[in-house]
Amino acid sequence: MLNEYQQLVDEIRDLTGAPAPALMEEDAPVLGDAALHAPRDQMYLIAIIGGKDVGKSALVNALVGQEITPRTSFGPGTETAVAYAHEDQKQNVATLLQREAPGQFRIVTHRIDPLRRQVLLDLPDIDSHYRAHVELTRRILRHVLFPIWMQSVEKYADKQPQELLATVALGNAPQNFIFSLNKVDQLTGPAADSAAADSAARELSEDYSKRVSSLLKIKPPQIWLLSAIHPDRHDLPALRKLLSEERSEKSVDTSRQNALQRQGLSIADWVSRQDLDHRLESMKRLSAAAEEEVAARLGTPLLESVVPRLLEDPAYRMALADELMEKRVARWPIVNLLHILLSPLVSLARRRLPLPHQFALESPESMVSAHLQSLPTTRGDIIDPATPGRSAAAILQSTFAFLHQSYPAIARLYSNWKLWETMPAQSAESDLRRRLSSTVERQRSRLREQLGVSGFISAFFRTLLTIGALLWFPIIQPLLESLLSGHPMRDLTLLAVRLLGVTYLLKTVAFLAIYYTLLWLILRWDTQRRIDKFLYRWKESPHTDPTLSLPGQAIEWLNELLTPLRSATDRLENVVQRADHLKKSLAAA
Amino acid sequence: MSDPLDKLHNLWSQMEEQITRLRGTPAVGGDLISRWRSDTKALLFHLQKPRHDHPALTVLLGGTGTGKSTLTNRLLEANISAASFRRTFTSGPVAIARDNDAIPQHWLRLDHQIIANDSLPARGQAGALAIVLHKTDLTNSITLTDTPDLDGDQPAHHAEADRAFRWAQAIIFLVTPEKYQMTELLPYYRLAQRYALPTLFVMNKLEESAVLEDFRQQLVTRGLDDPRIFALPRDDAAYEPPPDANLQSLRKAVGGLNHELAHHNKNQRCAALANRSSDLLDRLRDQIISPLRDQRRAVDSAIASLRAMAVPAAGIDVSPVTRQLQRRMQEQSILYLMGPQRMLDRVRQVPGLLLRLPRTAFDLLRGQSVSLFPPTTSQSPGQLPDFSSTLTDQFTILQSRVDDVISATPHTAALISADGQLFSQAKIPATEAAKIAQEELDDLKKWLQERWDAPPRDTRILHKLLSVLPGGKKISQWSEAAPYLLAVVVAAHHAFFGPIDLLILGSFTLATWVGEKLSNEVTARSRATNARISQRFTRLAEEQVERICQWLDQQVPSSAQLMKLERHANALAELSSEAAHAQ
Repeated sequence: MLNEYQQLVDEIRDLTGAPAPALMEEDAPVLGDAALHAPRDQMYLIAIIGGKDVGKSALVNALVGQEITPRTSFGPGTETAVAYAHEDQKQNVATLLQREAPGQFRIVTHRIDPLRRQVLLDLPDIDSHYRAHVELTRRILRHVLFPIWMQSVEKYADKQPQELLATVALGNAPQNFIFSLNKVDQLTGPAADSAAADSAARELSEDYSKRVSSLLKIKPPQIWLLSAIHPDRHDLPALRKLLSEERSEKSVDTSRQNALQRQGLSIADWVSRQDLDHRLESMKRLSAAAEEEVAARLGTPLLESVVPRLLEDPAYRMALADELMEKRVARWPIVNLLHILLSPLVSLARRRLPLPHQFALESPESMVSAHLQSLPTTRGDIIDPATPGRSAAAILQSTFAFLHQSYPAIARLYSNWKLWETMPAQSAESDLRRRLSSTVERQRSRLREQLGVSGFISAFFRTLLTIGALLWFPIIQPLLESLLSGHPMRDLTLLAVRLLGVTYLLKTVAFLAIYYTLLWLILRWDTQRRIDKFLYRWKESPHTDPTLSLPGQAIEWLNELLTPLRSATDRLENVVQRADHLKKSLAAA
Repeated sequence: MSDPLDKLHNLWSQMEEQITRLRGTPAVGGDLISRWRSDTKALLFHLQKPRHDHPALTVLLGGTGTGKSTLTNRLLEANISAASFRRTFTSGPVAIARDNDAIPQHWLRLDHQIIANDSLPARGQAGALAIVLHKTDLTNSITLTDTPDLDGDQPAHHAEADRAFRWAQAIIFLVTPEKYQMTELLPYYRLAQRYALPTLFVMNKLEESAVLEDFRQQLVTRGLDDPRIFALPRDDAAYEPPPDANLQSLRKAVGGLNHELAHHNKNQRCAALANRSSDLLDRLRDQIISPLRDQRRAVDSAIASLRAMAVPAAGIDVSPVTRQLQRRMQEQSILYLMGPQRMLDRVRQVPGLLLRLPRTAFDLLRGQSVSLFPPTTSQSPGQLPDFSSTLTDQFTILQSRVDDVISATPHTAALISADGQLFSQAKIPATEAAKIAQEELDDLKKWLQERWDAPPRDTRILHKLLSVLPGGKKISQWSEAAPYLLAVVVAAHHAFFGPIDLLILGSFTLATWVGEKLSNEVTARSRATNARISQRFTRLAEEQVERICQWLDQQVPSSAQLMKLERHANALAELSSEAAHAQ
């Protein structure tokens, strides 16, 4: 049973740092699984637990009706466990005791069939300076379903046995206990009248009952008043009768269930003392506050300023366009020559760009980092464009420093990731940079895939438009013209002469230059147009691949910042739910 | 007689005073200190010169239900201390004395309440010493004190019994066959022997002599040689104790306790007191001084690392605020107005002018106001960056670092959880940092406002110079035309001067540059503001750290105090061992 709760308790302890409940300690004298989940027809243990010299052995003998364990009134007393069991159970009892108390037990067997499953145990004391006694009793208590808790009229208010009782009762139902007060005969001498003795006994049993009830927080239990030297007086006959027959399998089962439930209640009690609801509430408040703060200080500028600026960065487009252009142009003969010739001019134009844009051309990483260096500050939710920006790391650091100051719990949650320190904040920023720049990289490669493969004009047309033009304008067209004009031979000669003339050459070359430049410009324009179309689609469509979406990446990063907080809240919530479930199931039982 | 004992008394009373001044800290609770103090008072009581005229203060100790009150009554042959079969009945000490003087004042450091004879039997109440005046032969020689139980479920009873033991001059231990093996009494047996207290053992409710023998055996194995054990049979038992151990001989032995105490060997007494003293000293060292020292060490190292901690930079640059003014100042400078720079600026504006021409024409057609110059920004100071929030942020970062340092060790973290209120009071609110920026910026803005329409310094100097010269005002009015003249000169210079244009251009540029540097109040001013802000911020941060350090320092006794305690303890230890070996 305890194992079922173990995980819950472990998790709560991990969250709150509370010490383990007393009934889960390593050597707690609490009913264990072996006794609680035993088969119905197996033996059960009744043991007499009590302080030194309160008359445990005498009671056992009185109950059994024969001297099975020697009475002692001085010295160490009973040092071993003495079991009174049916012969059929001897092996079982021996196995159990051999495990818990190797060599420190004795078994007395009987052949009383109505007591086949009941094992009566006499145990050493629980309060003397003989440590071994206390140890032995504590170990065997893990198997005792029905403890007869025994005190004498002299000792019933002692602290040490009460402490042990409190621990044992954590794991066993109060109705399984028999609380008894021995040596009632000592209250009055034999000469005194019995009425006074009886009233004294009643008063004492009330006092003891009250003490037990306040210790275990239960209704005042029945106290069995015993006197081993007067076996026929007080409650001893009733007790003997109770123990003279074994309990039915069903009643033992019920007792086990009760014990289980009591263990559950003890755990539930421990859980409710951990103040989980309050913790969860404050954690949720903290979580909400942190989310709001991070969203206002970091989220707004990132999503409403940096990401759009990144997407609209002209240099970013230019870099994209350059790359695609390179690819497309390679398949256009002659135009590619022109492209190479024009590239110095293009780079000259780029020199005129402001510095950040030039960085952008260098690599996505440097572009992103340039943008992250100047996040606009915000006032509340409103971006404040007029004020100069600060770096994402600085904003992150100050956001978390603020949270850390307002909510001391942050210090514990983020003890491994102190975002209010410079270094962690910077590494978080570089994580964001890596995310954004790798997204940009991915976008580029996707563009390359989608745009670079096929042009809208097939290879034939490309050849026609380039090589064809080169052949047609300077050579074929004049040739055809002269052929069609009717004087083939003379005109052809004339044509050949003209073709090699300066005027003609200049004219043709100039025309072709213009023609090819036009082609180049059209190609460039078309590339830009397609890139725009794609970017637009990415920006607007909600169904884009999340790895390609810059806002998606930024949001993911923001979420990651809150992970320690969120996971702690989730765990707490989960634990609270399970604790509620536990409480409910116990209430239902 | 006992010089070393007097000295011990002196030293211990000083020590007690010192400890009184200690406050409770998380490591050393206040109740621990007060318990130790009360034991010290007990020691001081024992260190006083013994008074043989008053009866020995004898304390009866035992567990619940051993019959302490009953035994008291039987010894005195009167119903004095209330006895009951209910357990944990007596909850405070009850002393039976022959008269008022028999009990020293403040004995047990409890209120002494004399119980009137008609309200007997007296039942002891916690927190007070009930005194019953009863004159018999026995009370003439000893003052018997009945105590609450030592092992019951009421911790307060245990504390009362322990206190009575510390103040006792003689002890009677009471056990029963059921309880003689319990663990609670064992340390007291040992201490009674160590403190050379005349001790009697009584076993009540005895039924057979073997138990008595076993008890004797137990005491002997625990190192008590020849314990004096008496036996009282249970009412209904047939057992009859031997004549040297029955109630009569017990009464005699109890009566003789005073005599025994008076004839204590001087050396024995010294040794016993030395033992008491060194026990108390050990407790002082283990439970008070060394935890305090550990905590002090933790606090010291926390303070050291706080002081060494890097204060985050203010990180504020006000130049965006002043940049506008600087440009305006430049434009108003007479050197600029006179110099070629203005021409160059005009030339630079031409392409933009041309580009905007269509727009300008359109505006003109729509009948709007038209300006040939680009929309200028130098007319207003513009929006200011949020410097105060930056400073607040930096300050919060500092406070977070402070918190981290303090919660780094469990010792110092415990201080916060014990005294969080004062700790948060030691923190300076972050708005203080914001105030710095606010004040400095207000100051700067006021200055800017003043300067906005004032001519720059070089211009002022030139104006002053020119106003001294005859016709100087005119020169300065005309000086604005200089660039245009210069342009004409440069354009036509070949006709007159040769390559002098370069010279003119160069020298003018140089003059403007020098003039600008000389007259640049704005840069200097903004640099000063920056420096002042960061200086004030650092000072505030240092003050914060200092306040936290002070708070930390106050939480634990100073090392000087601890050193003093330690020295005192050492002196006491030396004296104790001296007393122990004084022959």
